[in-house]
Order: sequence, then C-alpha cells, then structure tokens
Amino acid sequence: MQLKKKANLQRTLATATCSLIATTMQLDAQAKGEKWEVNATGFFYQEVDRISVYEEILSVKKELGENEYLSLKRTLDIMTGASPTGEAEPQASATFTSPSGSSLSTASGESPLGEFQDIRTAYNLSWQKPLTKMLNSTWTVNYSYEYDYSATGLSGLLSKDLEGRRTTINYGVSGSFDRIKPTNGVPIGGTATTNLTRYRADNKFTLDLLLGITRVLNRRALGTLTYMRGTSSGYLNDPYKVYSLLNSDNLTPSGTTYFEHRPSLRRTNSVHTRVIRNRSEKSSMGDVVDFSYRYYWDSWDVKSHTAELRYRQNMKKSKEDEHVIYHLRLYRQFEADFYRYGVPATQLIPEYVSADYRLSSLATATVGIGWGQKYFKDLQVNVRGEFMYQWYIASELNALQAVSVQGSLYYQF
Amino acid sequence: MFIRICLVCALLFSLSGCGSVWSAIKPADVKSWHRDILAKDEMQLDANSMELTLDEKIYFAREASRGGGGFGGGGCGCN
Repeated sequence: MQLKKKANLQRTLATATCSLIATTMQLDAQAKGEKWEVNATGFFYQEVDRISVYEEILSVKKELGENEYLSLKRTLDIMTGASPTGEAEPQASATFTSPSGSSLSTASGESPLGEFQDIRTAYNLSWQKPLTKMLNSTWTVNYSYEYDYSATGLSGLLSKDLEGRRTTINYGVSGSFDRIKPTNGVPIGGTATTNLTRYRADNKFTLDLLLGITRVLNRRALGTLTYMRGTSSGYLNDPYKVYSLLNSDNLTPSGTTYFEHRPSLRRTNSVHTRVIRNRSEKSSMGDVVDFSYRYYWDSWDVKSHTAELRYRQNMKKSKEDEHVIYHLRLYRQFEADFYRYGVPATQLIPEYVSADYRLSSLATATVGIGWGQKYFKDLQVNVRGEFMYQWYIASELNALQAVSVQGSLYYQF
Repeated sequence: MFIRICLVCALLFSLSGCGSVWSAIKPADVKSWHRDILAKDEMQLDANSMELTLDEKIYFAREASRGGGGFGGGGCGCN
C-alpha cells in the first residue's frame, strides 16, 4: 500500500518537474523574444446583383523583446461585378457607355451599373516599440496597389501610460499619398462624358491626427474616447461616377451625362467611444460586451451616427476557450450638400455635383454571428458570417443586400 | 427615430452596465494584481482586430464616413 503511494508520489513529482521545466523553457523562449504568431484569413463578400470580393490575408508577428513586436501583413483582394454609375434610371431599356468606356445596357426602372474587375495587393509593416517604461510607440508603413490606383501611407502612434497604467493617452499622426490612374485617363470633374479630354494621372493627399484616452473603468471594464481629424486634398472625385441631366419631370434622364465634381478639399472629424466589459466576476467564465459609438461630420456636410455591439459568449458547458460572438451594427448617414439624384436640364449646373449613392442619405444594418475555438493552446480557429442591408432615404436606388463569410487560423509558437 | 434608438441604447447600456458613467467621472483605483480579468485576450482593444479591419474596408467602400478608433489602410474604394 505504502509502495503504491510512493509510486504515485514519484509520478506526481516527475510530472510537476517536467511541467516546471517546460514552463521555464517557454518563459525563457518568450524572454528571449522568440515568440511568433501567424494568421491566415480568407474572406468572401457577395452583394445581390452587384459585386463580389474574395480576400486573403496572411500576417506574421514576431516578438523582438519585452513588448516589442514586428509584424508584416499581406492582403490580396479580387473584386468583380458591377456598381451603380450615378446615372438616373431610364424609363425604358437603354444602352449607354460606362465611364470606363465599355458599352452597357440597363432595364427600365433599374440603375445603370458599370462593370469592373480589379485585383488589389497590399502590404503593411508595423513595428511596436517601447520608448520608456511608460511610453510605447507603433510605427506603420503600408502600400496598396491596383492597376488604376496606388496608395502609400505612414503612421506613428505614441501611447503614454499614467496613474499606474490605469489611464493611457494616445497621440497619432498618419499620412497617405494616393495615385489615381483610371482606365481611360483622369476625367475633368463637371465636364460632359462626351468630352474626351483626359489626363494620365492625379494625386490625393490625406493627413489624419488622433488624440485618445483609454482608461480602466473598474476591475472588469475599460473604456476609450478618441477624436480624429483628417484632411484630404487633391483629386477627390470618383473617376467612374457620373450624373445625369434630367427631363422636365425631374426624374428621367435626358441622355446627357457629366462626370461628377467634388470639392478638392475635405476636412473630416470623428468622435469614437467604446466600452468593453466582462459580465462576470470570475475571470475564466465571463461573457464580454463590447459596445462602441461614433459620431462623424465633415466639411462636405456629411454627418453620421454608428452604434456597434459585439457580445462574446463563452460556452460554459464546453471548454473555456470556445466562444460565440454576436454582432449588431447600425449606421445612419446624412447626405453631402452637393449630392443630387440628377440636375434638371433647365437649371444652371452647380459647381459641385455628385450622384454617388454613397454620399446620399442612407442607413445600414448589419447582423452577424461568429464562432471560435482554441486547440492545443496554440491554435485558434475562428469563423463568422454576416448579413448587411443598406437602404437609401432620398435615392431611387434599390436597397443593397450583402452576405460575407470569414475563416481565420491563428497559430503561436 | 434611428438616432433616438441609438441614444436610448447607449444610455441603457451605460446605466445597466457597470456604472461606467460614474467610473468615468471618478477614477477607479484598480491595482495591478486585480487586473486578471482585464488581462484576458478577449478584453483587449485589438481582440477582434482582423474582423474590424475587414469590416472597416467594406464600410469605407459603401459609406461616406471614415475614421474612429484608429488609422485605416490604403485603397480606392471606388466601386
């Protein structure tokens, strides 16, 4: 009996020693900065009768030292389908020439759509480095390329911890230089689409400033408040969007179309607040509520409200790391001051006009559900599906319906 | 109507939640050894960063607003 007890004790001690050695080795590896994190994500987005997008993302993150990380992300997007050009809906079936030069036809009472196909490749390199014990920095370079558009961006973010890390102040600046090279050249905003005067390429500059505060609200909740101000200048038109001159009924197109013309300067502002709260006092089992609200306004008179809720439910009857996430997002936008469905042919054409439905008064509702599970402590699998419904308050366009699915694998070693 | 619903939801969440409004006014003295819950992965601001990045891209291409809690990536968003 005693021998059996002794054998059990020896086995227990051996197991504990092995666990301790394994943990120590892991801690050593982490202390030396040998930790890697790899993520592979596939994403598919499909709109009813419009566009579809397939996207794959591969990212690698390497721990260089204590709180110091280097990460590289590569994104590939393949987009096909058709999107509204901005032309008014014809009374009867019609054939027209899209802004990209191709011949398209549309049925009576339907918005003319412009077909397109595009492949986008993007790279993002990010370096997170502590400057002092209480001051962290994140530096990012990104580049994205499509055959008719490229963007190069730089950003820096400083995070200063205060009050024993109960409060963090964030300061950030981001700049982007975009090069626009449409298929048939850059059209001059506000000119007739029959005008063949184009130039090869144009530029757009964007500067964003960020000021935010993150604070521990209590033992199981934290909140953030962020203000962002942005300035965009240069060629801000969408080169593929047009607007129609309307007949005397102010509804049907006269047949003459113009390239849209937006102001060459846009100042944007947003205030974003977010609260993350664990519902349980027991750290291992609590569901997590993540709520955010954003108010946005800009110099084009676009205003919007966005409310978003994510509820993470831990599957208590199963393993601790299995969870389900429910997602709800509501968005309401008020139109830009130069948005028009079309311009009556009898009226003087304003300097700035756009019939791009995305600048109109609209609302979007999104619902989604996701599931995640950890395997072997190092492998995380996530999948989710979402449904988006967008409707237009002052536009003749049919509502947009879209579904998306995503699958992700995370692996740490 | 939509705005009212959003505001009511925000208010209810704040009140029914964790006393977040009061906590925001009065700093909570949470010591570092009491941060086991806050240290969990799902309590981090970047817990769903991949999902947020993908969502932002869709909304950037379908709505006129941009910005919020952080900087976005590049791209046209034309179609």
